[in-house]
Formats: sequence, C-alpha cells, structure tokens
Amino acid sequence: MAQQLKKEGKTLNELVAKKTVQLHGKSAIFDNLSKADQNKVYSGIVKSAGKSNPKVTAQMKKLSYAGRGLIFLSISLSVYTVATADNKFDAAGKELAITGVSIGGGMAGGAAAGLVCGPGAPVCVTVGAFIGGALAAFSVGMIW
Amino acid sequence: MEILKDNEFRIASSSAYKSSIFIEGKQANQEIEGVYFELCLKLKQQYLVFMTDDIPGEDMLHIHLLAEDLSIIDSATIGGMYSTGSFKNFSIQEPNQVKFNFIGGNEWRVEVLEDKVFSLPFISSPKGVSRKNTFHQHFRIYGDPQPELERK
Repeated sequence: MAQQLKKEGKTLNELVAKKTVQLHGKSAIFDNLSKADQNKVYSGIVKSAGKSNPKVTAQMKKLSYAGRGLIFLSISLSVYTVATADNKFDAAGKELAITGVSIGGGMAGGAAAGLVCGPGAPVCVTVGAFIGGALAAFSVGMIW
Repeated sequence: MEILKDNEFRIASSSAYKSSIFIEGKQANQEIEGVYFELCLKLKQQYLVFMTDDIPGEDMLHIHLLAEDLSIIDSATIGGMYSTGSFKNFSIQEPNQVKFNFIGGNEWRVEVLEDKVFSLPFISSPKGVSRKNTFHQHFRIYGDPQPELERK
C-alpha cells in the first residue's frame, strides 16, 4: 500500500517558491522579501510539513472500526466454541489463553514494529500487531 | 481553455483542509477540498480547478469541475497514503484536455466531457485516483502511475 504510487517530492526551492506565493501573492519573489517575511515562509513550510493528511486520517479511522469489529467476531467465535464443546471447562481455558496471548502478542508485535518503522507508521504497526497476535495465538493453540 | 489570472480567481482557506473560492469576486456556494491553489481553467461556462493540500510529505491533488454558478459538478483526488506529488509541467491540449505531472512518475491527463458518462465506482479510474462512488463522471482522468519500487 505504501509503495503503490511513486513519490514525486518537492525540492526545497519548490517549497519556498510555493509558500512565498501562498503567503505573499503570485508576484512576490522570495529574495526580495524582508528577513522577517522570509522567516515566515520558512516557518510556514515547517508548519505544513507537520500536518497530517485528512483523507489518510479518515481511512485509518475506518480501519480502527474494522479492528473493533474483528474483536467482537473473535469473542463470538470463542463463545460458540465453548458452548458447543463437550468439555466446556477445558474449552473455556483454551479460548481464554489463546485470546489473552493474541492480545498480548498483538501489543508486543505492534510496539516492535513501531520501534522498527519509526513513529507515524500506522500500516507497519498494524501489520506488526497482526503478526505478533497471530504467532502468539498459533503457538498457544499448538501447545494446548 | 483559458487560464484564469489572479484577479479573476482567488481562494480563501476556510479550514485547515478546505477553501472557499471566489471567481471574479463571486463566492462559490460551497467549500472545495484543498488549500493551495495550483491552477484554474475556464472552459465554456465551466471551471476546472486544481488544488493541493499543502502537506509536503503526503500531498494530494484535488480536481474540481465547477458549473457557471460555482456549484461542484464533479471532483476527484489523485494521491495516496505515504506518497506525495508536485503539480508541474501542465500543458493545455485544446479543446478540453490538460496534461500535467504530479505523482507516480507518469504524465496525467484530464479530459472534460461534453456530457456525463456512465462509470463504475473503484474500477473506472486509474490507480491512485479516488472519487465519490457515483455512477457517472463529468471528466475523465488518464494515467499509468508507477509503483515506488520497480517489480522484476
């Protein structure tokens, strides 16, 4: 997902030129601005660089809702498994263990991915959490 | 197609991500996505407006087709998560097309249509283009964006 579109980033000159036009109009030339106005241009670029894209934020929100839905699905499947098991006590213990370690594994995997990919890497953290949770759940399932 | 000059077109940011637009002093009745004005073209009685988000690390290009009364006829966005682009090298192909570079290492082309045409959501636009899930388009976007890493 992160690499589906080749980036065409802006050079510093382009950023300065665009911010100058945005703040001081199309006829403005950066070199002709006062020192204070030039600093405003630089600070504007820094401010813009710190913004998050609203479309991406909205997509991430939708994914978080999907994640909550999956938790409810997982709990429902556990309840079904326990309800239909011959040995309900054993089945409940197994489901509890698997669900518990998958949550713990997911948190650990997400944290590890965050350390590797750096801050602001939601896709990487999501994948890390998924792998961590799945590995932990499979391991406990096999041991039980 | 005619490029509108500064005194014919201006924008005013109405929020961090949207703008109000003024054409010849007249304010559009709704906000449009984007806060940095790139280009406005006039075709017959319509306006084709190109705006970006002013987010250097994750910029997207918003293309809006406005009617004479400045209501939005159709909109589309080019861009994606973790990627960015720079709107440049635009050229007008008369009577109704404009070419430019933005993202994906390729040339993009926008063709404004005489009448709306049927389209299917999700599959009727190139990769990297998103638009409202409607079954018609008033302009078409052509492009073949390349991925960040070449697959062998």
